[in-house]
Amino acid sequence: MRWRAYAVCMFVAACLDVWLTFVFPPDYTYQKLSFIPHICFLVCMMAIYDRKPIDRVLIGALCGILYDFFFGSTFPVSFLLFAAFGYTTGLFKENYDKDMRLLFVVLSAEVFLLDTLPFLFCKIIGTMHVNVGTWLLHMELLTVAIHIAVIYGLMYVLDAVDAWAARREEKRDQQRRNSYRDAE
Amino acid sequence: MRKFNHLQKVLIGWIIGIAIFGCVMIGLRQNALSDMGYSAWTYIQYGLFEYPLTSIGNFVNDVANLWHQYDDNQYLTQELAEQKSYKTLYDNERNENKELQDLLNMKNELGNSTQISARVIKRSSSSWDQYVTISAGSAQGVKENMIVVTSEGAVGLVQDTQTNTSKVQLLTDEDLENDISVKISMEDGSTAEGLIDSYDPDKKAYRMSLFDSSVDVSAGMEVATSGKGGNYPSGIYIGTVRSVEQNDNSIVSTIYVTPVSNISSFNYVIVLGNGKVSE
Repeated sequence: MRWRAYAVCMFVAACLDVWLTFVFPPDYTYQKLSFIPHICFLVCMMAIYDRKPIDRVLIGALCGILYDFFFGSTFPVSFLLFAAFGYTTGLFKENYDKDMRLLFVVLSAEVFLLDTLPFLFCKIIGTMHVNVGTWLLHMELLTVAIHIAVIYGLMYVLDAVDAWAARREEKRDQQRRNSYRDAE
Repeated sequence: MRKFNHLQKVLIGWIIGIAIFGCVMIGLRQNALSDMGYSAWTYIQYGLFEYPLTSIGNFVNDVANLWHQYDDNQYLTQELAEQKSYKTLYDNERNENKELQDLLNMKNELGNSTQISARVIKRSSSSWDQYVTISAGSAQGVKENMIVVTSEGAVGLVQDTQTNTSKVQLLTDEDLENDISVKISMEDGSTAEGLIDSYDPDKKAYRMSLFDSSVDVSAGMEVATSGKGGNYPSGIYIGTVRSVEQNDNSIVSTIYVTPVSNISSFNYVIVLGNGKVSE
């Protein structure tokens, strides 16, 4: 089933997020440029963008809640954001067939908002005191720049995974039909 | 109400189940009796995710450190090689310094004799025991037949002078051009005079003959210049008596004198001319 391949990709992407955060931890003194990985989020959105709205919300929510409990301690942030962005990603799905660059732009904007919305929320409630410009420069600039390249790479990788999973499913169906024929 | 399909029902079920499980886990954290269960869950989470990822990260750090250590190793190896060459230079400088200090001490003891300091500028390996060229010549006051000494004692005679260099015949040359007038101070205060006329390469000693063969000379006595003949002062140390050999006729004996210890390797000399040094 193709979903199994996607699930494995999401798991690997989540592990990659944790590992990248460990190797390149964000600098919360805001002296250097930091990179916050969201590869699992991108894989999830690319897997669900062409599905029905309720499916997108539920799959995004499930992915978010698993990410919160296993790969981070930010429940319910990822749960809510993944569900919300799952819905918004598929809003323009009819236009993606005409121009895939639109998906690229939507995903880049969602990566930006994935960090910015929690930051603004914390700023409003008074738990974050750093200047918006400083935070955008030191946290988001490198994050968005790198994720632009990551999106390109993931589009290719997921296409390859999709094609491989589809071929595997066809082979399995063929084997099943052959076994039924032999049984008859 | 909108009906959910099978996939949506499964997803909702999973979300609710995980949310409840997560809340129970968070709630259990507050209960001391359930700490063991929470610790087990935390350990599983650590063992499945954090520990492998941390191990990979540590491995990458170690590999990166290996590169740094390789660079450090290369640098230190180069430094060590340079240190060895510095040590060699230091040893060389120290030896030269000692030689010059000894020469200076000797110079201070020589009194009013003509003294010209010079450095060995050429000593061919083919004539190592025969000749050296020094960096003082007629312009500095060097004359033929002056004696050349190191800090240990006499090593040769000036054979030929140029303006700024001189050729010195070493006393270890088998064919000495000029004999050297020498004396041996006896215990009773008298002196026995003689000549050093050649060098025996087999015994590695000067051959000396006494004017008075009846004098009782024994090993260990010191031989010095007598100041008679030649252009050099008296009292310059030549060597030490090693042995006395009676000739067949038992009238004349040959005395073998050991040269100074550094005659095979010296860099700085003093050329001495006539003048009273010591008796």
